[in-house]
Amino acid sequence: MTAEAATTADVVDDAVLADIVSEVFIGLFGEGRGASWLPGATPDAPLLVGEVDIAGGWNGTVSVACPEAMARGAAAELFALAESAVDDADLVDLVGEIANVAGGNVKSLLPDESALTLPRVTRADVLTAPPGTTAGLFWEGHALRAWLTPA
Amino acid sequence: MRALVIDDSRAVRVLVRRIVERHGFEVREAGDGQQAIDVIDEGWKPDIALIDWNMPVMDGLGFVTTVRARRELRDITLMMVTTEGETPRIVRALAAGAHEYLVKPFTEDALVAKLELLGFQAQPMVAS
Repeated sequence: MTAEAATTADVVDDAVLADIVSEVFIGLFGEGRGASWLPGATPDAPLLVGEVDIAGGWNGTVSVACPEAMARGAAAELFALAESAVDDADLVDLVGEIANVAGGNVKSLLPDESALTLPRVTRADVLTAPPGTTAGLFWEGHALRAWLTPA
Repeated sequence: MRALVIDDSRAVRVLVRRIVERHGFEVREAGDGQQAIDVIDEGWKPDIALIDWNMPVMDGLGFVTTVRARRELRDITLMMVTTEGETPRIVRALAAGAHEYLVKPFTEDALVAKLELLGFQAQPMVAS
Protein backbone atom coordinates (compact mmCIF):
# COMPACT_ATOMS: atom_id res chain seq x y z
CA MET A 1 0.00 0.00 0.00
CA THR A 2 1.41 3.41 -0.89
CA ALA A 3 1.42 6.43 1.33
CA GLU A 4 -1.03 8.08 -1.04
CA ALA A 5 -3.50 5.26 -0.66
CA ALA A 6 -3.17 4.95 3.09
CA THR A 7 -5.95 6.32 5.22
CA THR A 8 -6.66 5.58 8.82
CA ALA A 9 -10.02 4.17 7.71
CA ASP A 10 -8.05 1.33 6.10
CA VAL A 11 -6.73 0.18 9.43
CA VAL A 12 -8.38 2.09 12.28
CA ASP A 13 -12.16 1.95 12.48
CA ASP A 14 -14.29 2.99 15.44
CA ALA A 15 -13.90 -0.36 17.19
CA VAL A 16 -10.14 -0.41 16.79
CA LEU A 17 -9.88 3.13 18.11
CA ALA A 18 -12.05 2.22 21.11
CA ASP A 19 -9.84 -0.80 21.79
CA ILE A 20 -6.70 1.33 21.62
CA VAL A 21 -8.07 3.83 24.14
CA SER A 22 -9.27 1.06 26.42
CA GLU A 23 -5.79 -0.48 26.43
CA VAL A 24 -4.33 2.89 27.38
CA PHE A 25 -6.48 2.90 30.51
CA ILE A 26 -5.47 -0.68 31.32
CA GLY A 27 -1.84 0.34 31.01
CA LEU A 28 -2.31 3.27 33.37
CA PHE A 29 -4.70 1.75 35.90
CA GLY A 30 -4.31 -2.01 35.63
CA GLU A 31 -6.07 -5.09 34.34
CA GLY A 32 -9.84 -4.84 34.49
CA ARG A 33 -9.75 -1.03 34.36
CA GLY A 34 -10.18 -0.59 30.63
CA ALA A 35 -12.76 1.76 29.14
CA SER A 36 -15.90 0.23 27.65
CA TRP A 37 -16.85 1.01 24.05
CA LEU A 38 -20.14 2.90 24.10
CA PRO A 39 -20.84 4.32 20.63
CA GLY A 40 -22.50 7.70 20.89
CA ALA A 41 -21.25 8.41 24.39
CA THR A 42 -20.67 12.12 24.78
CA PRO A 43 -18.54 13.46 27.62
CA ASP A 44 -19.82 16.16 29.94
CA ALA A 45 -18.24 19.62 29.89
CA PRO A 46 -15.97 21.09 31.00
CA LEU A 47 -13.68 19.00 28.84
CA LEU A 48 -9.98 18.43 28.58
CA VAL A 49 -8.89 17.53 25.06
CA GLY A 50 -5.56 15.83 24.50
CA GLU A 51 -4.19 15.80 20.95
CA VAL A 52 -1.21 14.54 19.02
CA ASP A 53 -0.47 15.02 15.33
CA ILE A 54 0.71 12.27 13.01
CA ALA A 55 2.71 13.09 9.88
CA GLY A 56 3.88 10.63 7.26
CA GLY A 57 1.87 7.69 6.00
CA TRP A 58 -1.22 9.53 7.15
CA ASN A 59 -1.48 13.14 8.17
CA GLY A 60 -3.90 14.13 10.87
CA THR A 61 -4.68 14.42 14.56
CA VAL A 62 -5.66 11.91 17.20
CA SER A 63 -7.81 13.48 19.90
CA VAL A 64 -9.15 12.23 23.21
CA ALA A 65 -11.70 14.33 25.13
CA CYS A 66 -12.70 13.58 28.69
CA PRO A 67 -14.57 15.45 31.39
CA GLU A 68 -12.34 17.42 33.72
CA ALA A 69 -14.02 15.63 36.61
CA MET A 70 -12.93 12.27 35.21
CA ALA A 71 -9.39 13.47 34.61
CA ARG A 72 -9.22 14.86 38.14
CA GLY A 73 -10.31 11.57 39.68
CA ALA A 74 -7.93 9.59 37.51
CA ALA A 75 -5.01 11.89 38.27
CA ALA A 76 -5.76 11.74 41.99
CA GLU A 77 -5.61 7.95 41.86
CA LEU A 78 -2.49 7.78 39.72
CA PHE A 79 -0.56 10.40 41.67
CA ALA A 80 -1.96 9.23 45.05
CA LEU A 81 -3.36 12.67 45.82
CA ALA A 82 -6.63 14.01 47.16
CA GLU A 83 -8.72 15.34 44.26
CA SER A 84 -8.46 18.80 45.78
CA ALA A 85 -4.67 18.57 45.53
CA VAL A 86 -4.64 17.77 41.80
CA ASP A 87 -3.47 20.81 39.87
CA ASP A 88 -3.62 21.82 36.21
CA ALA A 89 -0.17 20.40 35.51
CA ASP A 90 -1.32 17.00 36.75
CA LEU A 91 -4.42 17.14 34.54
CA VAL A 92 -2.46 18.21 31.47
CA ASP A 93 0.16 15.53 32.08
CA LEU A 94 -2.35 12.72 32.37
CA VAL A 95 -4.64 13.71 29.51
CA GLY A 96 -1.63 14.43 27.33
CA GLU A 97 -0.20 11.00 28.02
CA ILE A 98 -3.52 9.30 27.22
CA ALA A 99 -3.55 11.11 23.85
CA ASN A 100 0.14 10.35 23.31
CA VAL A 101 -0.19 6.61 23.81
CA ALA A 102 -3.43 6.45 21.82
CA GLY A 103 -1.79 8.40 19.00
CA GLY A 104 1.29 6.24 19.05
CA ASN A 105 -0.78 3.11 18.78
CA VAL A 106 -2.80 4.53 15.89
CA LYS A 107 0.49 5.45 14.22
CA SER A 108 1.89 1.97 14.68
CA LEU A 109 -1.02 0.53 12.67
CA LEU A 110 -0.37 2.74 9.66
CA PRO A 111 1.32 1.10 6.69
CA ASP A 112 4.13 3.62 6.39
CA GLU A 113 6.43 5.04 9.06
CA SER A 114 5.14 8.29 10.47
CA ALA A 115 6.16 10.87 13.05
CA LEU A 116 4.28 11.82 16.19
CA THR A 117 4.27 15.25 17.83
CA LEU A 118 4.43 15.82 21.56
CA PRO A 119 0.92 16.03 23.03
CA ARG A 120 -0.97 19.23 23.69
CA VAL A 121 -3.98 19.67 25.97
CA THR A 122 -6.70 22.29 25.77
CA ARG A 123 -9.92 23.00 27.63
CA ALA A 124 -13.24 23.04 25.83
CA ASP A 125 -16.90 23.45 26.70
CA VAL A 126 -18.19 21.92 23.48
CA LEU A 127 -17.15 18.69 21.78
CA THR A 128 -16.08 19.40 18.22
CA ALA A 129 -15.35 15.90 16.89
CA PRO A 130 -15.76 15.87 13.10
CA PRO A 131 -17.48 13.07 11.17
CA GLY A 132 -15.26 10.06 10.60
CA THR A 133 -13.53 7.60 12.85
CA THR A 134 -14.74 8.23 16.38
CA ALA A 135 -15.20 6.15 19.50
CA GLY A 136 -17.38 6.90 22.48
CA LEU A 137 -16.27 5.15 25.64
CA PHE A 138 -17.26 4.87 29.28
CA TRP A 139 -14.83 4.74 32.20
CA GLU A 140 -15.51 4.91 35.92
CA GLY A 141 -18.90 6.56 35.50
CA HIS A 142 -17.82 9.04 32.84
CA ALA A 143 -18.22 9.19 29.07
CA LEU A 144 -15.20 10.10 26.97
CA ARG A 145 -14.57 10.27 23.26
CA ALA A 146 -11.66 9.71 20.90
CA TRP A 147 -11.54 10.66 17.25
CA LEU A 148 -9.29 11.08 14.23
CA THR A 149 -9.15 14.25 12.14
CA PRO A 150 -7.41 14.12 8.76
CA ALA A 151 -5.17 17.11 8.08
CA MET B 1 19.95 -2.02 41.96
CA ARG B 2 19.35 1.44 40.54
CA ALA B 3 16.84 2.43 37.86
CA LEU B 4 16.61 5.78 36.10
CA VAL B 5 13.13 6.43 34.73
CA ILE B 6 13.18 8.91 31.83
CA ASP B 7 9.87 10.20 30.53
CA ASP B 8 8.39 13.66 30.03
CA SER B 9 5.09 12.43 31.47
CA ARG B 10 4.93 12.45 35.24
CA ALA B 11 2.09 9.93 35.01
CA VAL B 12 4.36 7.43 33.30
CA ARG B 13 7.24 8.13 35.65
CA VAL B 14 4.98 7.46 38.64
CA LEU B 15 3.64 4.29 37.07
CA VAL B 16 7.06 2.90 36.14
CA ARG B 17 8.60 3.98 39.45
CA ARG B 18 5.97 2.01 41.39
CA ILE B 19 6.65 -1.14 39.41
CA VAL B 20 10.43 -1.02 39.53
CA GLU B 21 10.47 -0.06 43.22
CA ARG B 22 8.35 -3.12 43.95
CA HIS B 23 10.97 -5.09 42.02
CA GLY B 24 13.63 -3.84 44.42
CA PHE B 25 15.16 -0.91 42.55
CA GLU B 26 16.24 2.41 43.98
CA VAL B 27 14.72 4.90 41.54
CA ARG B 28 15.40 8.38 40.24
CA GLU B 29 13.42 10.21 37.58
CA ALA B 30 14.28 12.53 34.71
CA GLY B 31 11.92 14.48 32.45
CA ASP B 32 14.07 14.22 29.32
CA GLY B 33 17.34 12.76 28.08
CA GLN B 34 19.45 15.75 29.08
CA GLN B 35 18.10 15.70 32.63
CA ALA B 36 18.99 12.03 32.73
CA ILE B 37 22.54 12.73 31.60
CA ASP B 38 22.74 15.40 34.31
CA VAL B 39 21.63 12.89 36.95
CA ILE B 40 24.33 10.46 35.81
CA ASP B 41 26.98 13.17 35.67
CA GLU B 42 26.12 14.13 39.25
CA GLY B 43 27.36 10.65 40.18
CA TRP B 44 24.13 8.66 40.27
CA LYS B 45 24.87 5.93 37.75
CA PRO B 46 21.95 3.54 37.21
CA ASP B 47 22.08 -0.16 36.45
CA ILE B 48 19.21 0.32 34.03
CA ALA B 49 17.58 3.28 32.32
CA LEU B 50 13.95 3.03 31.18
CA ILE B 51 13.61 5.51 28.36
CA ASP B 52 10.73 7.17 26.59
CA TRP B 53 11.36 8.08 22.94
CA ASN B 54 9.49 11.34 22.33
CA MET B 55 10.64 13.97 24.80
CA PRO B 56 11.62 17.64 24.57
CA VAL B 57 15.25 18.82 24.79
CA MET B 58 16.89 15.41 24.26
CA ASP B 59 14.79 12.49 23.09
CA GLY B 60 15.25 8.86 24.00
CA LEU B 61 17.29 7.98 20.94
CA GLY B 62 19.60 10.91 21.67
CA PHE B 63 20.04 9.64 25.23
CA VAL B 64 20.86 6.11 24.04
CA THR B 65 23.37 7.45 21.53
CA THR B 66 25.00 9.70 24.13
CA VAL B 67 25.30 6.94 26.72
CA ARG B 68 26.68 4.45 24.22
CA ALA B 69 29.33 6.97 23.12
CA ARG B 70 30.73 7.19 26.65
CA ARG B 71 32.91 4.23 27.57
CA GLU B 72 32.34 4.64 31.32
CA LEU B 73 28.58 4.30 30.83
CA ARG B 74 28.56 1.28 28.56
CA ASP B 75 27.52 -1.10 31.34
CA ILE B 76 24.19 0.68 31.83
CA THR B 77 21.34 -1.46 30.52
CA LEU B 78 19.05 0.57 28.28
CA MET B 79 15.38 -0.25 27.78
CA MET B 80 13.09 1.83 25.63
CA VAL B 81 9.58 2.24 27.08
CA THR B 82 7.71 4.11 24.40
CA THR B 83 4.61 4.45 22.30
CA GLU B 84 6.79 4.20 19.17
CA GLY B 85 5.89 0.67 18.15
CA GLU B 86 6.79 0.42 14.46
CA THR B 87 9.45 -2.09 13.50
CA PRO B 88 11.81 0.48 11.89
CA ARG B 89 11.82 2.49 15.11
CA ILE B 90 12.53 -0.58 17.22
CA VAL B 91 15.36 -1.57 14.89
CA ARG B 92 16.78 1.96 15.04
CA ALA B 93 16.79 1.98 18.85
CA LEU B 94 18.36 -1.46 19.10
CA ALA B 95 20.97 -0.52 16.52
CA ALA B 96 21.81 2.59 18.55
CA GLY B 97 22.48 0.43 21.57
CA ALA B 98 19.22 -0.18 23.42
CA HIS B 99 19.01 -3.68 24.91
CA GLU B 100 15.26 -4.06 25.15
CA TYR B 101 12.07 -2.44 23.94
CA LEU B 102 8.64 -2.20 25.56
CA VAL B 103 5.74 -0.55 23.76
CA LYS B 104 3.16 1.52 25.67
CA PRO B 105 0.64 0.75 26.90
CA PHE B 106 2.16 -2.04 28.94
CA THR B 107 1.16 -4.09 31.96
CA GLU B 108 3.18 -4.55 35.13
CA ASP B 109 3.70 -8.20 34.20
CA ALA B 110 5.18 -7.22 30.85
CA LEU B 111 7.62 -4.74 32.38
CA VAL B 112 8.68 -7.20 35.09
CA ALA B 113 9.19 -9.92 32.48
CA LYS B 114 11.49 -7.60 30.51
CA LEU B 115 13.46 -6.73 33.66
CA GLU B 116 13.94 -10.40 34.48
CA LEU B 117 14.88 -11.15 30.89
CA LEU B 118 17.63 -8.57 31.29
CA GLY B 119 18.86 -10.29 34.44
CA PHE B 120 17.27 -8.04 37.05
CA GLN B 121 15.60 -10.47 39.40
CA ALA B 122 13.28 -9.14 42.10
CA GLN B 123 15.12 -8.11 45.24
CA PRO B 124 13.63 -8.02 48.73
CA MET B 125 12.85 -4.50 49.91
CA VAL B 126 15.39 -3.23 52.45
CA ALA B 127 14.19 -0.74 55.03
CA SER B 128 16.37 2.36 55.02
